[in-house]
Amino acid sequence: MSAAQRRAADAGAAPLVNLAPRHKLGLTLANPVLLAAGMVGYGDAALPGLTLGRLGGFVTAPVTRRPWRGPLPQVTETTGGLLWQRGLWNPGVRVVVRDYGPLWRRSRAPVIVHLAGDDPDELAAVATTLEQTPGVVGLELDLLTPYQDEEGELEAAEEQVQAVRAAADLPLLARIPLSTSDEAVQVLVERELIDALVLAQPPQGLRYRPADGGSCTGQLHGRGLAPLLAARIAELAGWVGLPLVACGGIHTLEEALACLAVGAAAVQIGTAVWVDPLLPERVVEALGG
Amino acid sequence: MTPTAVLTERTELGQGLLLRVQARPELLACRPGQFLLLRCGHAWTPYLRRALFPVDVGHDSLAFWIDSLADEGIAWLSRRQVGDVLDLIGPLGKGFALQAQQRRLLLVGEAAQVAPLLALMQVQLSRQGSVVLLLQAPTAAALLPPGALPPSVEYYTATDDGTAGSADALDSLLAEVMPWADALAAAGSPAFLRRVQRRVAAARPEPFRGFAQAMAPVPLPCGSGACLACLGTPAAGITAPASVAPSSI
Repeated sequence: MSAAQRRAADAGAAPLVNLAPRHKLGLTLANPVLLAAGMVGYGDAALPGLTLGRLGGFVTAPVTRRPWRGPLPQVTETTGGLLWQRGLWNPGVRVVVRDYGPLWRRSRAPVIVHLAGDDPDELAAVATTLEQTPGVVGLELDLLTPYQDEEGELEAAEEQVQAVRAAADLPLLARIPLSTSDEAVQVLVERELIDALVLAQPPQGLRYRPADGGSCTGQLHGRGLAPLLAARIAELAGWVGLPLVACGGIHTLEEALACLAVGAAAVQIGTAVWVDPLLPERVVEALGG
Repeated sequence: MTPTAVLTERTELGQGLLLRVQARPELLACRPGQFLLLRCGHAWTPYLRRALFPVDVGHDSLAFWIDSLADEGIAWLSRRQVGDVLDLIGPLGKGFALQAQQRRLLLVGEAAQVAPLLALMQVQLSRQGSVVLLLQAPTAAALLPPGALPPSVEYYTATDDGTAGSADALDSLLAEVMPWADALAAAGSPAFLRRVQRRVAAARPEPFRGFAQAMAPVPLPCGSGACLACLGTPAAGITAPASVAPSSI
């Protein structure tokens, strides 16, 4: 258990949760309430009222080997949610570790870094750097792409995971699309590629603008996803022998507790925290923390 | 909903509404150029909080001047009545900074972005400094009514349609007032700020550090910088992310 995990465990009485029981280090968190990737940037962008140290941990914004700059990020509101076109904007692992490493080392909240990219060698290089960074207790990686050839995608995923595994001895969480088939999940589980499954990557959405006939696209975040997520967690919980982390659409205490009740080992709260920064702490308190 | 403020006053002012709220102490630490985030009701539509820049921060209250047509969230706020509770968090952003020796403040802005300038005006007046305000608007109706300003403030206007000063009056006013000022704060669109920047460069070829600060309107969906939407809207000579914070010109 890292220093941050010990500090966090001492801080509250909510149930400890191990998101990597198969991993030799484990990934024991003080409570099962995390923030989803990028919701507080690299831990530097929390809104007033949000106390990261009370949470089980947070997942950072994406990190690639080299700086990534693409189209400027955009946020477009939808009914009950938003479309977030973020891309992989980040200054590259070297700068991220230089600028935020000191923050992670001091953080009372364990830090899970979201790896980004497709190339196994690049992912491995990032993982190597992160393994040597104090405060980082785990890695999260998006695997598979919605509605693509799963067989081919699984091969690519296996290569990516093996590269990361070989480079860093840190627990690895895989965030997969909601549409991932049972067969693909079974492959990920049986080949012991990952330590926990995060459900799910935000789906892609589009908002049409009648005024000019244009449209905005981006990853869809919003409350409407919560029932879809709960349903998929319930389906998988019965037979997947890995911890499941519910991520997407959780906007209320009841929705968080519902995901835990149907089989999630932990929850990741997403854009709801931009609107209701006290929500994660309310969930922790409801769990006895 | 976390009640952090109560609406105590609601007055029509020009084309907008002046709202005063009694607020919790942490919100009253909001400095000029900083903002608060408002949750627009219990429902999740509109989804995101809205950034509000106070025009005045007092001992136990603060005021906003809002355009009720600005968007769905601000329209929600404009329908609140005296006594309604509001969920505000903040302050966020860096805000303007004035040095103690800066006594003659020139404020220049577009009317739609005047709020942080008015807050800075109040701070400057409270320390017995002098203020000149130059405002640009499409038409006279969009300007702040002169009666809303303290008498000690010199107020000049320019309008695109010429109803309250000609469109190019801003340039001559800037050229006239710039030598007097020892501090300048600007707020407006990138094109407007570029125009001001050219005037600063012409009037003061070697302005001292901290002479001029500027704010461009940028989207603030998350308010904390996490979503990166504030990376956009670059203005020449202004370092991003000026987005959430005034930057030196």
